[in-house]
Amino acid sequence: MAAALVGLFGVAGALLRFGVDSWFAHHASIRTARSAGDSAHVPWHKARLHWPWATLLVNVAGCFIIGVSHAMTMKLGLAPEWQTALATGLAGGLTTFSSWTTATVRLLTEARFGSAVLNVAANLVLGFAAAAAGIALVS
Amino acid sequence: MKPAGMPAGRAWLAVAAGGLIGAELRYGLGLAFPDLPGAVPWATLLINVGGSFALAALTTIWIARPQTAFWLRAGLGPGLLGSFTTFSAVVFSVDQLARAGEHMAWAAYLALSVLLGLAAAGLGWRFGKSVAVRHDAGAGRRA
Repeated sequence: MAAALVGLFGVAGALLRFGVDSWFAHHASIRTARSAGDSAHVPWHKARLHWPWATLLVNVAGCFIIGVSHAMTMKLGLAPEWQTALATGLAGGLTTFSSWTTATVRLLTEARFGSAVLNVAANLVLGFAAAAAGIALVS
Repeated sequence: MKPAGMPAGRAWLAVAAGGLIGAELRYGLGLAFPDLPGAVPWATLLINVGGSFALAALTTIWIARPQTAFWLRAGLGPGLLGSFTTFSAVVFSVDQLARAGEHMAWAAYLALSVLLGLAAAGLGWRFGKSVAVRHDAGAGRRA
């Protein structure tokens, strides 16, 4: 039961993240497109003037969700398999560690050191704040 | 008609399939190597470090090979590796370890996650570039 829920919620999280990614990539490519070519398929690593906003957004949202799922379990008696579905499935699928580190390394290779430090700091600071807010929300 | 700027259905399907595999792998590894109370969650750390290496390597290979099918890149990158690795579990575990007064464990976990994750992505980036360069050299000889 828990494994099926993790799969279902994990897919939902991954699709949500991909939708956010695509939205940001599309709007970045509109801003910077030199021609009206194939902007719908500009991959996330090709958009100019990129800053990983999409990853920041999904990571902060996922930290909030995992905080809420913990609080709901502690205070509202949420069943363990549903906590696993929300925390391991939805929040785990929605958030991503590899895109965060890869985007940071990419900024470093472009000598955008301030942006790289900001990317690391913003995800951590806002992520911890969102998790704490989620935990505190259900009380 | 798909909305402007949204990827085609095949890419979404690939992300769903990759996301399912990634989430189940992460869940299974968590069951096989459960976190010990007050200790660094090693399974999640290794998942995130390994996933960082793989995504950075694939990203540089795809930059060199933009003709790679979009659905394949979407399924492996945002789908499989995006879902396999997790940011929220790191933040939550650090939060809980800190609340429990396990200051060595949370500090070590946070530092190891960031430093090893970035180092793995850096290594993956260089590895992917070297693979792409070798591939280009081979393609050049064949041409």
